[in-house]
Amino acid sequence: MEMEPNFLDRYQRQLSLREVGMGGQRALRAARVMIIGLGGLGCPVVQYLSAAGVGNFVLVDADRVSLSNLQRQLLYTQNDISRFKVEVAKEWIQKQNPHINVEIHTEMLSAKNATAYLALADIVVDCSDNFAARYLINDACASANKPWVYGSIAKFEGQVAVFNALIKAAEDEHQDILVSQSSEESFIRSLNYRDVFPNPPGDGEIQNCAEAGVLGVLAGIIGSFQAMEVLKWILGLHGLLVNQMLTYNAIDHSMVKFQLDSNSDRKY
Amino acid sequence: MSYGGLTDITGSDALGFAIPQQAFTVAEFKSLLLARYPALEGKTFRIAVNERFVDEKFEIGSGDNVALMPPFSGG
Repeated sequence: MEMEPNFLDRYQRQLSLREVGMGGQRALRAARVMIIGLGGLGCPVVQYLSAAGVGNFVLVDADRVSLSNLQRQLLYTQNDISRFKVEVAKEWIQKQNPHINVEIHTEMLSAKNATAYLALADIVVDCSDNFAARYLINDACASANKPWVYGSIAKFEGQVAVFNALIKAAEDEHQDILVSQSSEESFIRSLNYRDVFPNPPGDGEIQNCAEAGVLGVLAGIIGSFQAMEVLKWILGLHGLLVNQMLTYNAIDHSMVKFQLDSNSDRKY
Repeated sequence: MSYGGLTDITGSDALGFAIPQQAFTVAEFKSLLLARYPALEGKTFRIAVNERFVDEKFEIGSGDNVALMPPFSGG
C-alpha cells in the first residue's frame, strides 16, 4: 500500500522513534484494524490510531449517537444526534486524513456475520459494552486465529489485555516475548478471555456504564491503553499485554498486571 | 483486594484475613469469604494470589496478597 502524500511531515514526530521509523510507518499504513463498538472506548481508539497512520479501518456498531453519549464520546457533537456512530466516525477519520480507508457496518457482530467480518481485519479491538459481544468476539477470534485487544470499564476501574495474539513460546515467562505477524511456525497463540473468565456472568449480575455510571476520562484512559496495544502489536514491539490482564484504578492510579494461566476446561 | 462491583459488597477494596491453618486452599478461603460476605454467593469472580490467577486447589500462605477480580462490562 502506497504511503500518503506528505507523510514524512505528518508523521515526523513518530518516524524519529527508532521503534517506528519508515518500516513501522509502512506497517501502520498497511494494517487493517477492526473496531467493534464506537462508544466511550471506541472513540479514543479510532482517534489515536487514525492519527498514527493506521491505513484501513473496519468500524462495527449498530448504535446511533444520543445526547447521553456526548459526556464521554468525543468524536460526536450535538449535530450528530440520531446519526449512526460509524458514519460520523468515518467522516471524522477522513477529515483527519482523507487517505485512510474506512469500511463501516451498522449491523452488530453476530455468530452469522463474524467469520465474514473478521476476514476483513488483521487485529480486532473490543470496545463493546456487554458480555454477549465480548464472548462472541473471543470465540470468533479464536476460531479465525485473530488477535484482539480487550478493554472494559466499571465505575473508576478498567481492564485491558491482548488475547489470542501469535507469540513466540518463551522459555521463561518473565522474558520479553517476541511478537510476530509473519510466520505461524514455532509460534503459539496467547491466552484468551475464557482463560480468565470461562463463562459469562448471569444476566444483570454486573452493571454496565448506564447502570453504574462512569466518568468520560476513564473511558479515554482505557481506550488509549487499547490503542497503545494495537500500535505495539502492529509495530512488533516488546511488552504487549499477552498472558496478562492489566487493571487500572483512576482514584489512586494503581495498576496491577495479573498473570494468566491456561484454563484447560475452556470450551467454545 | 477486591475490584469492580465486588467492592460494593465487601465495603472496602482492602480486606484482611487471618490464615487459620497450614495448607489453606483457595476453595477454603472462598468458604471463609462467603461466610463473611454472603452477598458474594453466586457472583462471578476469579481469585488471584500475588497477582497471578489461581485455581481452587492453590494453597494460600500467610502474607500472600489475594485479589477478587470480577469481569467488567462497560465500554
